[in-house]
Amino acid sequence: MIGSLLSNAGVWMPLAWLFVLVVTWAIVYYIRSRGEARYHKDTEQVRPFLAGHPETSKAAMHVRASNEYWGFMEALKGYYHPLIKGHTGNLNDYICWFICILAIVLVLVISVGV
Amino acid sequence: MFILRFVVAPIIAILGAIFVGLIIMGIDRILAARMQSRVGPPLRQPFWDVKKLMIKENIIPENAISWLFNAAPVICLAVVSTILLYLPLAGFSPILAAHGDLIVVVYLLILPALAKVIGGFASGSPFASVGAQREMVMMMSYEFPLAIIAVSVAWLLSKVHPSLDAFSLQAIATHPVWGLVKGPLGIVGLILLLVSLLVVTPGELSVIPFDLPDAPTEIVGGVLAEYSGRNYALFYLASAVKLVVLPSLLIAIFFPYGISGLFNVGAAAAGVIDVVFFLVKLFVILFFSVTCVHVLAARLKIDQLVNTYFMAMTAVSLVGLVLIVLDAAI
Amino acid sequence: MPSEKAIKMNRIIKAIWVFNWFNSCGFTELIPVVGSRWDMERFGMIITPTPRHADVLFIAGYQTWKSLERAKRVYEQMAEPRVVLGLGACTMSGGMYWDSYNTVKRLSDYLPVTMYIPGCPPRPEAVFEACVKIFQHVKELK
Repeated sequence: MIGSLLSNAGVWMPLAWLFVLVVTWAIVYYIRSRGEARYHKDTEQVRPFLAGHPETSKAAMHVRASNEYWGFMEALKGYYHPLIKGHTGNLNDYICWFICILAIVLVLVISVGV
Repeated sequence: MFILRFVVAPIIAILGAIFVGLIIMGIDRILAARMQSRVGPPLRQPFWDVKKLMIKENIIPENAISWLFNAAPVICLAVVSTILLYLPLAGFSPILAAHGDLIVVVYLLILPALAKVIGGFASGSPFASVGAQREMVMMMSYEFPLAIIAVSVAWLLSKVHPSLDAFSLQAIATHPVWGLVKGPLGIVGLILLLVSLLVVTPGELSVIPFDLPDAPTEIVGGVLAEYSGRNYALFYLASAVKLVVLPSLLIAIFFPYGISGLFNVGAAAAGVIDVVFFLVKLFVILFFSVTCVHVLAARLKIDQLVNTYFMAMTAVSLVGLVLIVLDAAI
Repeated sequence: MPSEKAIKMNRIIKAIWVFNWFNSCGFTELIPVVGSRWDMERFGMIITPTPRHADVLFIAGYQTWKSLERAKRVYEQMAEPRVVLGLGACTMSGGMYWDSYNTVKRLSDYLPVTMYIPGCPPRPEAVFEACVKIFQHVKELK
């Protein structure tokens, strides 16, 4: 049975949302269908706009996914740089980190438990 | 009743929101022009803009993934108007009050931005890709303060009225948060939350200084760079509907008051008064958090934007949360 | 009963979106049109960042052969209905660069210029007048 998802403090019924979405979708589609649909296929019109420059190669024009979070990395430099430094690739270092964190967690658990 | 709630209400919501949103957009443009000592366009200018876009050609670039490229604006407008049905508008209880709460609204607010991201990546233009990436980073940044605000308000409500559904927007709107706190600490905390929601609002609407995803002078319209004609018109309408949705959320949480109680009138007249007062509140909030800000400010860089939202606004809203908790504990 | 085309043109007259292709002094002379003294937005004219949104392509000043190639490409990428406005004496006759080896003498040999705005540079009033007239002009053409 599909019903509402209940927590103690709220409710969420996906089917109701989907139903409403279908209605709004239909209206939006109607608005869209009132517009002009034509354009000139296979002409210069469909080339990408690069400030008037010709497209040299698709690969060169592609913005790579590695740039995706540039803004984030740039703003949170102070957090990421020490993290990257910590990743030395040396297994001993990782195990050292693991043991340190484990010790801290144990201390926390024991101190709270007592 | 079913038809009324699930068919008629969405139709009224979307058409009403488009109408109100476009008028607010017109007022915003006039006021912005007056502040720059210009005359500004007529009030009906946004309507004319949309009408004009509908007769323009709808170009689908050769590099675009055409079905995604066409679907993105439709998703954007359709989803953003469903959010309205979960919000208490003008003192009336939400149409889908029994089917969704504040958490749903916070999640649904991601979808229009996500639709823009999809549209940008599907355009196959480097400008649009950069715009879509910025939109994504921006979305991730302002979600955090928004979530903290939602949690704080719900926590406060559940503390004072444990029997209520704390995340239900109807419960939040009928028990104004200002009456739930005990002392000055709580008031200061709520003001901090209000400030961070006021700063998140222009980000969600992507207006200057947070208009990085479609920075016209920098990445030629960003996400919208390759859109033309009716597809662009749908994005235009979606931004108009957003102008109604975001302030409505803010009003529901912080200013859910009506003034119809002050007048000795019948139910119908009271409804009209409440709707008018609601529109006034909507307009005042937009005036201070959007119009004034986008006239005064210049565009931020993307790392400054992440700092503003992810660091500063998160800190502000966290301090607000802590103050509210302290206020309840004392 | 006005024709379908006339209805379209009437819609565009109320919301003219402009893409600027300014690569000479025309640019500096047209900036005041946006500002508070002349304020083109009161006529519904705004400047768009990309030719995809634009109705009018403003070409200001002389074009070199290299910039002409790009101007043509930008014109092709605009959505119809689209028109080209040539701004200033340089687009009409080459202006003060009439005997240069690398400038275009007459723009309408290469692009379908609907209207020229003469002047060196033209006054903002002339630009407004042209924008109102240009679509009337197109309406009368066909």
